[in-house]
Amino acid sequence: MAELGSFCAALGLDESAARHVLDAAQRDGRSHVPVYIQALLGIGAWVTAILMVAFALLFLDFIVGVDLEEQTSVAVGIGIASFVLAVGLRRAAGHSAFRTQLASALSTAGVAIATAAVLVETESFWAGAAVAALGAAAAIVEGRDRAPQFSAAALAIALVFIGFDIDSLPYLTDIAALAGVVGVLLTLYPPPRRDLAPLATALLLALPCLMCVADSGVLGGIGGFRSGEGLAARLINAGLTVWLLLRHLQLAERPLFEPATIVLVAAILVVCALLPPGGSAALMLMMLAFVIGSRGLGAVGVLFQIYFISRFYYDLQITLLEKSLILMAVGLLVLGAYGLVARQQHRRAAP
Amino acid sequence: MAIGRNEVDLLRRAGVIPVGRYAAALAQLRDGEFWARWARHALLALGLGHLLAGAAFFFAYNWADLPDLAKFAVVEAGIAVAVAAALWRGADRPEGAGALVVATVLTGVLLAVIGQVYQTGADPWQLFALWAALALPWALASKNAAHWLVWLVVLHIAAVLYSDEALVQTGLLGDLQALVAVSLLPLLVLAAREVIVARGAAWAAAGWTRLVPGLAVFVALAFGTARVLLGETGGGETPFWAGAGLAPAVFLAALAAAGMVYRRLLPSLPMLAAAVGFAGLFLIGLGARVLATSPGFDDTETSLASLGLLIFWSVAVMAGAARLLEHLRRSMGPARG
Repeated sequence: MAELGSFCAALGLDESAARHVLDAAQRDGRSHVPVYIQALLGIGAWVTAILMVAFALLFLDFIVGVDLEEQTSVAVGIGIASFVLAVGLRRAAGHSAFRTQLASALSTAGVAIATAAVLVETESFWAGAAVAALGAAAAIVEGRDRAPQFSAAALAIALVFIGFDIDSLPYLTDIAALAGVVGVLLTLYPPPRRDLAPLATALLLALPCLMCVADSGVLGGIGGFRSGEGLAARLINAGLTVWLLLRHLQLAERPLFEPATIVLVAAILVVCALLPPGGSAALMLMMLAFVIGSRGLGAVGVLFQIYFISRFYYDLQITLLEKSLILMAVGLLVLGAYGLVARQQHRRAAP
Repeated sequence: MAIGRNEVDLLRRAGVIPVGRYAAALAQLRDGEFWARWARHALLALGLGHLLAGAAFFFAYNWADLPDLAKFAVVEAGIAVAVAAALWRGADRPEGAGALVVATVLTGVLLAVIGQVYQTGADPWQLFALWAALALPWALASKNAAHWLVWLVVLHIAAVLYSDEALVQTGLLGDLQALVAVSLLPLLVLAAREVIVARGAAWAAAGWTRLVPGLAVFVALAFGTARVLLGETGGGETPFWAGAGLAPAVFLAALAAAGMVYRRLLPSLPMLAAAVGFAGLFLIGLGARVLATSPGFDDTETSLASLGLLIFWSVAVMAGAARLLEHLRRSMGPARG
């Protein structure tokens, strides 16, 4: 948190304009419901939304006589209707946290139904991904709710990955790493007037989530030198992590090329080269969380890092001995970085 | 006027913060001290984690070829080094507490090695119970909430295994009765936490140390209650109140108690939100159970009627929960815990 006056002075912003915007938002009644209350109400809203969709499907199938398995257009229509209903609910929601959550659930369900209908009809994951992407675009344009944007974007990304896998297209890991680049850029340089944070989050999580479900074939050998797959992903993650470190130093108005920074950069490059792509992606998430001050993203990065350590055990491309040496080397490097950072912080804090 | 991330996003979307200054705006909001501490702790935890995992993989690679004495020596040396590191850095510092967590984990590994080498035939619950007992001094010395969480996980695993192997399988208790009994353990942990925090133990005062055992109680009892709502009767000649009825009764009592304690005595909006949320889910489940009996889901017309009524019921319950939570949020004000 910060005080508005000092915040605007530090950034050279028009304080009166800022105050006008924030006062208008308060008059609109945009009260901040804590996230855990939103989550609780979200569970109830999802249960209700699923019941509503089940009711609509049952009504159409048995009463009106529509055979949903053969009429894709009807299913797509239900999906669109669900999304439109959600838009109306959001506009009427006002202060109601439950109505907001119900609207989220209905719009997400609508996109999912339309996507599933097209996917089943065309038997093409690419077509399904296109529909989900349209749903994400609609959520971005409407711009009132983050959850449908995130879920539609995540669904589109997942279907693209499945399409890649089914068509045996190469370099899936590296393309997922590029999605992370776009995610970082959208997080730090969002376009004016639009909220693309959910899309950015889905892109940031693309590579780590892919590494959770991909087989050991994409984990790569030692430093990726034994097989080409995953080498570019490691380089991309290493480059991003270093860039984020330098960006942080720039924002904190500290010199960029101190000896300690050079050592940290070298450590990042070596660690990212040694770790599988999922581990280096988790490291990049932690660095981004550190730069922007996002505790949620930091926790996600740490959890992924812990997961990939245990997942490493099942990598079949290298022996247990090689894995143990890699992990111990990474551990020593990271502990060295810890010592360096702790000493730097202690020196800065000393009078 | 205090501003946070939401306000910064509002200002950006309104064009007050230019796109190129957004990262600088986030940097202004950032709590430098917190993130400096986070960076140190994260690097320490990940460094230790990778090092330990590497050591574990190394010994796994060589395990079959190691003589039994060497196996014991490796693990016991690890415990000794960890304890020495804790004494050197101080158990109250993060490095010392981390070292004691390592000692706790290695204690379990040592017991597993003993069981493997000597084929003692001990039941799994005995292994975990002994592990918890031997590791208790480390937890008492560290005064670290994360360490206590590790120890409590071991203790709860021992309790669950004991209830299954020694109580349920021998017929002393029914499934649901055992579930209720085990649920009382996190309740005791929660009560102990409130007492020691009230007596000044700042190290245990973080919000999650209340929420984790609280949610554990609610989740366990909700699971038992859901089984009853789905038709499980407990079986045998056990009366309903002592059999299948026990889980819902204790569940509702726990929710009511949480409501009273965390509204009046120890104000905590997160705990009240959890209680209200679980109560809402219980009411929806109860509604589904009643509607399954009448009108039922046997044919199309009754299914449509039941689904329609269930939708109204769900909306009413969740809307009521939302209003109640909003009322609590406004009335509790800053004293939300």
